[in-house]
Amino acid sequence: MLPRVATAAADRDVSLQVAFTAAGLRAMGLTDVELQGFPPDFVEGMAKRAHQLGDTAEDVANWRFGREDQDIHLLLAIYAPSPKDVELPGLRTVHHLRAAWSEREPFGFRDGLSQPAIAGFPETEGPRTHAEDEPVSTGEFLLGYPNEYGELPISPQVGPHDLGRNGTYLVLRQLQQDVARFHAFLGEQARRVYGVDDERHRTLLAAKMMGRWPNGEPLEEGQVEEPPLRPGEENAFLFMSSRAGGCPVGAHVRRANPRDALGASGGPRGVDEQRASLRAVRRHRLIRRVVRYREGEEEGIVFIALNASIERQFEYVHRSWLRNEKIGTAVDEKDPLMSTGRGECFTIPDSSVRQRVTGLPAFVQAVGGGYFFLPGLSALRFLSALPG
Amino acid sequence: MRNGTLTVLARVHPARRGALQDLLDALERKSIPVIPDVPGLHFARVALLDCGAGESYLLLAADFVADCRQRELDARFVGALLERLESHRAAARVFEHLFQQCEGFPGLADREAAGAFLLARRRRYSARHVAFPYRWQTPESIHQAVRARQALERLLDGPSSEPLVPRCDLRSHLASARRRAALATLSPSNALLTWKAKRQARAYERRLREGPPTQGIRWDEAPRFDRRRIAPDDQVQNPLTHLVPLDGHWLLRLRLFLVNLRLCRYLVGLHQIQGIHFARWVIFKGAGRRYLLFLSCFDGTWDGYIGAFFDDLAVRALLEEVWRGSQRFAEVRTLDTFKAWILARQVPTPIFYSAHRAQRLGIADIHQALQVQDLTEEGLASYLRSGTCGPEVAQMSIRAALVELARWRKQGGRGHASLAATPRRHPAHGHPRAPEGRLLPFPADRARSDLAGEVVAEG
Repeated sequence: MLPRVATAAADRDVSLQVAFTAAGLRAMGLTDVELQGFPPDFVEGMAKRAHQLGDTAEDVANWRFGREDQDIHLLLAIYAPSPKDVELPGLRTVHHLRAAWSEREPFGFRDGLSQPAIAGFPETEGPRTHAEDEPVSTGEFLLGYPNEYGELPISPQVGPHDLGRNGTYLVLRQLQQDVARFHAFLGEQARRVYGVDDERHRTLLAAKMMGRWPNGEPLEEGQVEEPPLRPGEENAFLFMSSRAGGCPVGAHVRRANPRDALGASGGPRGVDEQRASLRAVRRHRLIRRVVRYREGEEEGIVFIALNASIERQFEYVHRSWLRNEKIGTAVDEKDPLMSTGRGECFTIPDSSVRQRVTGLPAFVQAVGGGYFFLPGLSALRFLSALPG
Repeated sequence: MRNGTLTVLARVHPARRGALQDLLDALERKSIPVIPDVPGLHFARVALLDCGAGESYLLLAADFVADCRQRELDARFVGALLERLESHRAAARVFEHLFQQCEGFPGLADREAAGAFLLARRRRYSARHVAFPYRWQTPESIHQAVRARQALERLLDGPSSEPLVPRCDLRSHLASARRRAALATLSPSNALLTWKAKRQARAYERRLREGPPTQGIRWDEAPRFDRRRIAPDDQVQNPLTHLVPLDGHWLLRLRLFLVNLRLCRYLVGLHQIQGIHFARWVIFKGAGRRYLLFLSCFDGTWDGYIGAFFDDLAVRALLEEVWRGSQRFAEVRTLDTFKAWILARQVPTPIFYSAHRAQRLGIADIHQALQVQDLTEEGLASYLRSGTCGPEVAQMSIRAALVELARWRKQGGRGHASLAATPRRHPAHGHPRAPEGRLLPFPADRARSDLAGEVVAEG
């Protein structure tokens, strides 16, 4: 399998990535002592730490893959122009997930727009146009390099061999989206909030919840209709500027990446505060890859995040921002797209009196997931040579 | 109204330490209330502190307000606590049982002797931060403001005819709290520590930019505190109790004195950490060595809280002043090692009382509620638009809020999106604002309900 694994240099039609769970590394021949070199978040795995992400034990028991009773070892990510069935001798498929890249996720929004520029990558060389655009340290996404704290994080070692170098941690989550319920809710709330249930007001309401227009444009102050797309400019904005001043404090994209607005509840901020916010946010960024799946009537996305520390990046964003009920203005607001159906609400600033969407149902449900270690090529060669 | 900070450390009878630990574990498991709702009490906790060599202390800490002179605060609170315990028999039994494990406790029957016992064992804080509302508000007045805000929110959300709670007059308390904070701003230690923090921040940024990376190390001490004890859904008012022996304490008292003066200023350097209700440091001597005790109460996640200590350079500089000279603090280089250092010395808080926990009030909620109570006309317009109090908000009565709300509801009470005309925007704020700070006229085509008019008539 090793020669088929995609490298940075390779440009091919079909590419393959291999990532391991802690159980997988054990099966490859690592001892328990060697496994202790990996961070506890990865070793424990997503199912055990699901409460950090807002999943209940009952949710996890119904997962299609990633449950504690399933002994998953490997994630094989195969990218090909057409569906391929892969037979791998000696491996048993626990779960097969077929998904395809799509510009828009099932609710109709362009997805995966905000990606960090990474220091040292060729595409990030050259002058930057925007404060948000400053490259984030390589070590936030790749082990073996300095991170945003100017640290070389501890890397898993086996004897003299540095297993971590050029590797990273991969978070996989299959998220089922209830598209019908989402649209029904928009209709009902558009009537309540704006007094009219038409396409225009549904789109406006959905955009307020998401924090972007469906085409990816940020929400400008006072804007009530989707503006034309400015290609390449989708990310050139800060929340404390007029370009995105219409984005509610509790909207999904603002929670997931608060940019210059961390800790701000409204009103103007000083330059120092904005700078401090941008600096703090850079320590919790993720590389995201999203593909869309459809199984019969069911639709959703397969969410993949790459980060050097699952706890400090992926889990932190979930716990401290997305699910933080003290971001936003009401007492019990959470991310409107990650509501659990327990009576959460969401505040939308307006020109005279703020509006509030109440009784948010659960639109998105995790149906599987796991934490994986995505090794660099030398670590992969080392692992394949182990007598596991 | 003054706020008091009581820290009592009672030496545990060496032979009864195990029994006390079992008792505290059982109380924590069963969530049995030990501390009654004493008037003026915001927060309190009980924890067991081990100082090695078989010496342990039972900690009783409280944050409260009382209307008396500064030096009478502790006695006033202890008196109120013991009086309250007399009418809470179950809590009194547990309280007595806890302190009976300590040396010299006379029992609760003799209230005077029990009070003298507690007061004789109190330690003065060396530095503290108290969030502004707790400096001049009682729990009751905070709850009143919160109820008023909730009523306003309910009015905005849907038809309701309940009258709003009248605002209580605390202006003189507010004025004195503000005066003290303003005086602290002028103190030389404020300027000194600000200058120092700025210098440290510059050095740190230079090192990040130009210096070689720090090699991460694995902290070799096992965590004493399992942070999974804090459920991720506990996002408000989480207690943190931390005890560290002091290796060198040269000038520590002076440093903490300077830090304390600086912390008197409202939210000094803590603007990124918006979730601290209070924090304090107490130096005490136990088992022949000096210890630094740190107590705080925070909103949000443990990682977010500790991460903010490390991320915010001004806060970091302040904390380095405080913990420099504490056991192994000099070895802390990275965020991971800082977290490990904290966890290796964090002590469980088995008993925690909060007057504000049932309502799940974060410090931001309390600020908001108190600000809403005192909105100006301009501030109110901003609040109604955004649902939050911006920094420009100053003074206005809730009655004016009601009048404004009635006008809005009378004219439809709808969102603005369906309107053809877009009002002028205020460039900095991101919300429309009428000229000269007057409220925007509400469009006439939105007439729908005159319900709010009735509310104003009642109010």
